[in-house]
Amino acid sequence: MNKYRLVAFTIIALIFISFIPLVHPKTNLVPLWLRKGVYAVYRFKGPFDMMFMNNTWIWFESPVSTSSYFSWKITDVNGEWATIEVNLHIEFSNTKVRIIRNFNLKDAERKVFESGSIDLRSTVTVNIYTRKVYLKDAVIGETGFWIPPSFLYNGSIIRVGEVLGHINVRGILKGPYMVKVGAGWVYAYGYEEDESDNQTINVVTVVLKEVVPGKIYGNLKVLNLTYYPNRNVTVVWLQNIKEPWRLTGVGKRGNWTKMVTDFGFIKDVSFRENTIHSKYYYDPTSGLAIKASFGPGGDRKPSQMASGDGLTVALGLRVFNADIELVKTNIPTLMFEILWRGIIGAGALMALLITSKIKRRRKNKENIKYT
Amino acid sequence: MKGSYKVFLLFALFCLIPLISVGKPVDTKYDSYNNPYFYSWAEVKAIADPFGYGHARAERSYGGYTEPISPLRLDYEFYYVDSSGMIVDYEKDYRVTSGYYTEVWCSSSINHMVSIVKAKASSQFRDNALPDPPANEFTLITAWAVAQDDWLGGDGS
Repeated sequence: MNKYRLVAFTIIALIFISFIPLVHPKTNLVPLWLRKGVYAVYRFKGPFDMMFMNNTWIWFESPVSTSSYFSWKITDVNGEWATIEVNLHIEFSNTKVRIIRNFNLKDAERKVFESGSIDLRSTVTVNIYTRKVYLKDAVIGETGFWIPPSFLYNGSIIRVGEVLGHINVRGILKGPYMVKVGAGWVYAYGYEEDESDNQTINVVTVVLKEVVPGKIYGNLKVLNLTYYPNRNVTVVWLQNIKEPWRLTGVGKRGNWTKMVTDFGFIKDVSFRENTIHSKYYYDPTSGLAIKASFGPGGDRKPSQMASGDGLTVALGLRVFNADIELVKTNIPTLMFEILWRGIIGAGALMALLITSKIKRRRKNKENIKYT
Repeated sequence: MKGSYKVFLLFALFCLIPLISVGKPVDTKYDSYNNPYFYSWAEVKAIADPFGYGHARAERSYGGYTEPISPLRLDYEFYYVDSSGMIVDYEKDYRVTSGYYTEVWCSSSINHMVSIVKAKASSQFRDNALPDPPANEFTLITAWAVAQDDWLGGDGS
């Protein structure tokens, strides 16, 4: 076998071997990377708010320092149980904060913290198959910070993330597409809320055909049509019959107050109680969340509010409204897979070119000798 | 040299395996509200002091195009406060309309007075036949809470 064939066979073998981590987990419910020592660090994007179990609510009205982070680290894996350390480090840097106690806005404190920090830590046990989070043997939620690779495909329907019995809106994974993380762009699957999930979402769609004042479309009654000349828009004002204080306006270009016309459609989407709003963007190969957004959720009564993820509840936070993005991890992501292949590939190619050049030079020298 | 060329192709394939294995990337421009082409987020926590009513509005403000072009989605959050200053209720929902203008109002009732409003607008430009309008001319979003004759709030575009 000549040298080139040997190299070619080696490369083919490497290609097959390199497929293993990508294909194998698709038959498994637990990611291959899930072992002792893996970690992920996330930074905050923009202002956010959090509420402790005692109803103390903190609104960060300006961004916190860039050294603030949320992180988790697996410290042990034993059978189907992983021990995870969760950390939240918030560093102030002329940060404007509003502190609301027991939902009373009148007694809210407003402060500017030039420096200082808040540190919250906890250790939880997570079932690696169900991702249920346990604190002192009691279930406190479920984490969506990673999903099994078998869920990773366009159109995959999943429901992940749970806070103290509040379920998350069912999601449909879309992608992979480019998602901005920090200064760069990475491939990720996005979590789009599934409007057919009648456990959490109620959708009412009305087609506004031949709109005239007084006409009723389901729960919506046409109050009037108003023309706004400065914007050249006619707005049809609709009142919800069941909740009359709720008004919706739908606009159409031009003046339509003296003519019967159609105003397209209106889709009124409301979320049911007991629903949280967590969205995750997943790395396409590892299933690790590279971005997440946690919106307000739970019951409509603030004392029953809940949001975040099973891992944020572990920190004593009933509400964690934040957008976070991955800044550091030792879990092999898609970009890492491409990078290491690129480095090995480029190295091997260089070696091949150099050997071939040396060989050619030797041959030329030998030819000169003979002539 | 012919051999090196083949080997080079194999190397390229080797490096691109992760991308091949995750499938063809989706063009999000027409695909997702999570990653829409047009996006405007007025993260306004407008506080009407003491109380008032709330209002979230999204409007496409570019000229020259006729609607409907694409659904416009308006996400909003209203927090209700009672006369003693207690936050007693809140709602987080959204509306989607085919026109270029959507507005949601939540006014005070005897027990409920809107005090904090947050809103976000997003849209997809589904009609491939039309050119893309400049993003900065697209959406105007405002969210505010009103108290007596004053209003406090913010907007984004």
